Parts: sequence; C-alpha cells; structure tokens
Amino acid sequence: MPNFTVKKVFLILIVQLSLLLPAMTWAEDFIVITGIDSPIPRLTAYQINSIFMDKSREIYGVQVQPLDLSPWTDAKEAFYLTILKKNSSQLNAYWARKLFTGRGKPPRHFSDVKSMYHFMQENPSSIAYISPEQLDEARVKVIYRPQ
Amino acid sequence: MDDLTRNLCMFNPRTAIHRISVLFAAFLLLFTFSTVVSSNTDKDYEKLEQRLFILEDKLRHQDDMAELHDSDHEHLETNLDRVSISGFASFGLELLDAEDDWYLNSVNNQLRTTRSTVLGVQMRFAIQETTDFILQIQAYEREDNSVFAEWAYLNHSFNNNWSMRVGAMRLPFFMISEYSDVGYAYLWANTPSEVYDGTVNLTFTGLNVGYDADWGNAHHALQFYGGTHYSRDIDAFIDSIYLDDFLGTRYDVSWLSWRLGMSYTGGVINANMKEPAFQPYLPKDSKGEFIGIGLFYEGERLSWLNEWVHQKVDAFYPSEQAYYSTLAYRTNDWEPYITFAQLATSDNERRPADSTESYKQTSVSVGTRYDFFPNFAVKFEAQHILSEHNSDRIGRPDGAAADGGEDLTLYTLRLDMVF
Repeated sequence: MPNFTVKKVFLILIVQLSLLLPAMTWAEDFIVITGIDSPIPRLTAYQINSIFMDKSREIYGVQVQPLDLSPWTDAKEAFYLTILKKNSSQLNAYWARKLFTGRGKPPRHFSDVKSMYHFMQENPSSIAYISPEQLDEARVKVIYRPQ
Repeated sequence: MDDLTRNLCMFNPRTAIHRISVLFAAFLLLFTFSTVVSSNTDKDYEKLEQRLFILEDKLRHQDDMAELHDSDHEHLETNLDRVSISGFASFGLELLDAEDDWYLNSVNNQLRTTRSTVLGVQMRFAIQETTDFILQIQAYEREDNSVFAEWAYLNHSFNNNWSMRVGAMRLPFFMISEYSDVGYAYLWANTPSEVYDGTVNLTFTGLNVGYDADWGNAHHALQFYGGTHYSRDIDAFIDSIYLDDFLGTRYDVSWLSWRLGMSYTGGVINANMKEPAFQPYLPKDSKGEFIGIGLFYEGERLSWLNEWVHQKVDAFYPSEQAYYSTLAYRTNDWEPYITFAQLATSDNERRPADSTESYKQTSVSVGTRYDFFPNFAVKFEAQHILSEHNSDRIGRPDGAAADGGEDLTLYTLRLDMVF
C-alpha cells in the first residue's frame, strides 16, 4: 500500500511537471529589448503588458512605441502567452475591440528583426521582443528577461 | 616650317598690294556688316533679353510648379501615411424552430440572414500625433439595406491620461455596447438578446471625456459623456425616440484577466408613439435611466462573463432588468460556451394594471466559436427561449398577441471576420 501511494504521488508530480514544461520552455524563448540609447530602464511584465496592449504609451515620462514581428515564431508565442496572457485569436479579438471603438491600435509590425533593428536605431524609445539568439548588444539593450 | 610660315617668308610686292586691298575690302565689309549686325543685335538683344526674362520666368514658374508638385506629392504621401483603413464583416444564418412565430422582429422558421449580417469600414485620419478623426460606416442587410455612420468623431489626447471625443459615437451603456456589431470581437454567435436586444444600442452626438491610468497592477478607465440621441422604429409601440440632454459615466477596471465595468446614464425621453393611444405610456419629458454592471474573467482557457443591466423609465412604459452569465472553455481553436440569461419587467406594481403587460423571458444558449483562420471565426449557437408569463416582449413583431405559448429555439450559424 505505501508503495502504491508513493507511485501515485510520483505520477501526480510527473503530470504536474509535464504541465509546467511548456511554461519553462517559453521562459527561455524571448527577451524584451529597447534601443541602446533609450532612457527606458528595466521593466516589469505588467508594464510591458500595459504598453503592448496600448493601455499606456508613456513609462517614467518617456513616450514608448511597442513593435511586433509579423512571422509566427516560438518567441512570439512565448511573449504573447507569458506577457500578454493571450493567444493569437484572443489577441485579434482584443484588437478588434480596441480598434473599432477607437480606443487603441495594435503595435507596428515588422517582417524581420533586421528592419526592426533599423527602426529602433531611429526610434530608440521603442520596445520589442526577440529570441535571445537575435540579440545584438551593440544596437539594443535588454529590459526584461522572463524568470 | 608649316605652309603659313613658308608663304609669309616668300615676300612679293604685287601679291602684297593685292593682299592689302583684299584685307582692306574685307575690313570694310566686316565693319559695315558688324555695324549692321551691331544695330540689329542691339534690337535683337533687347528682344532676346525679353525672351530670356520670359523664359526665366517660365523656368521659375516651372520650378515653382515642380516644387509644388513635389510638395503635393510629399503632402499626399504624408497624408496617406496618416490614413489607416480597417474593417469587419459578419454573415449569419438564423432559423427559428417554431411555426408562425418571430423572434426579434427578424427571425422565423425560414432561413434568414438579416439579423447578424453587417459590413463595417473604419477610416482613421491622424491630423497630428495627438489628434485624429475616425469615421466608421456600417451597412446592414436589413429591410432597407441601411448604411449608417455609426462613429464619426474627432479624438484628441491631452496627455497619457486625458482624452476627449466630439461627434457621433456609440453610447458605452454596457460591457460590449460599443462593439456589439463587431462579431469577431466577442465570443457569442449572438450577444445575449435579453440584455443587448431588450434595451437600446444607441449612437449619440455629443462629448466624451476619458481618463485612463494604471494604479498598482490595474488599469482604470473613466468616461464622462453627454449629448443627444434620435432613432426610429424602436419597438411595437415607439415610432421614434429622442434622448435629450443625457449625461452618463462609465468606469472600467481591468486587473490580470479580470475586468469590472459599471455605468450610469440618465436623461429625458421624448417619443412619438405608433398609435396616439400609446402616448400616455411614454409622456413628454419622461425620465430614463440606464444602469449596467459587468464582471468578465477571460483567462487563457476559461472565460466567465456576467452582466446585469437596468433600464428604468418613469412612465407607464415598462422598466426592465436583465442579466446573463456565460461560461466558456477554450481548447486550441474551439471555444464552446453556455449562457443563461433572463429579462423581466421590474415595475409591475407601479404600472397600472391596464397599461403595458408585464413580461419575463429566460433563455439557455449553447454554442461554440471556432477560430479556423487568423482574423476569421465561425460560430454556432442554439438559444432555447423558455416561455414564462408573457415572455415575448422581444419576441413577436408589432404588438402581436403575447400569450406565452410554446418554447422557441433559435439556431444561428455565423461567420465573423476583421480586415
């Protein structure tokens, strides 16, 4: 009987850990960056959520512009679910609500990281998410890393 | 030594005299010619100068025009950058499983497309960074294929918190009043009819002042609005209605996946009734109030949507209370849901017995949303309407007999998209 209980607990732990796995994977999949000359310091997940969901356009007195990437990537999925707490359909519905009531608009989209970096050089107070391997520390700095 | 040097070295007097005479003649000819030419040149020069001035002027004008064209082109490009166009569309099929019966004046036992078919186009023109003009036009497939400018307003943001809108806008009575026509933006195939069809969805002309702020980890949005409204063909009794000098406020707070909203709107109602005999039900300058409270939880998988509304009229016209509660669970692209909703008159004791009848409607809806493609969603819903008392306040058209009767089931298949 005790063996059975240990087995049961072990199984439950395995199931719970397997449920946590996606979140652990996402945690490594993205970082949030801003221009190298940007005055924006490190931000919390809530502050990033607020900027990307167009609830706030200013942080510490600095006008901030959020940038998004068009291609669907692991980094994008991880960012959406971890920071914005929505999947793509929920987010589209959210933007439909904001857009057609005139209460906001989605972030500016870029087709690739290169063109986004170019824009960030011209507009250092913009923020974006990328996968960690796309980081170019000569051009941008990290303001959020998921724990 | 070249030929010319060689010739000069071979001096001959006859040849020299001949050459001198030829040179003299040539000089005279040249002098005469140059004099003639000179006099002509002076005149021509003046002409040439004039032509040059004209040409310069033309050139300057052309340069100006080119600059103007360039400037127009840049201006046009800049203007195009400032304009954004977006849209939404819904196509719905509805069917009622009842003989000789109607629901919401638009659905019966024939396949109908009129209730939820709509096309909307929105144009946003950024006048400057903080000011923009928004125009939203909607076309319905209804009796007269109507086209309406649901939104046409000027929006100005004073800073990160305060903004102001002036023009024609949707009244933010209830949680989704402002976007109830944008099917893609919400879960249901039909917004719960007890709340969103039993009361009025209004566009008003006036002013809306908004305050948005983050306090703690919650986002707060406060609106103050006021203006006037006019609309026609409201229900079986009212032909047209004026909502004058109304004022309202709405407060929404969102925290994590929760959203709480409250609103109050009050004003004076003046109505033209379909029959003079109906006029006492809604006399001149009747006071009307609209109250709404909503609590939404929209998690990654689970959604729980609740709303209670009260439409109060100080006359014989019935006041109503309505609510709904929806539970939904998302699995990948599917989101099945169940909704319980009820609408009832709330002033049965106050109204005289011989005035409008009391009524109550309860419904249970089961449906699903399927996001089959980015920006496209298909929805199916079966709404079972339970007959209680005279439960067809929003059921039958033009004051048809309200005897309770059979339960009804309304089936809806709907395609929603945004672009």
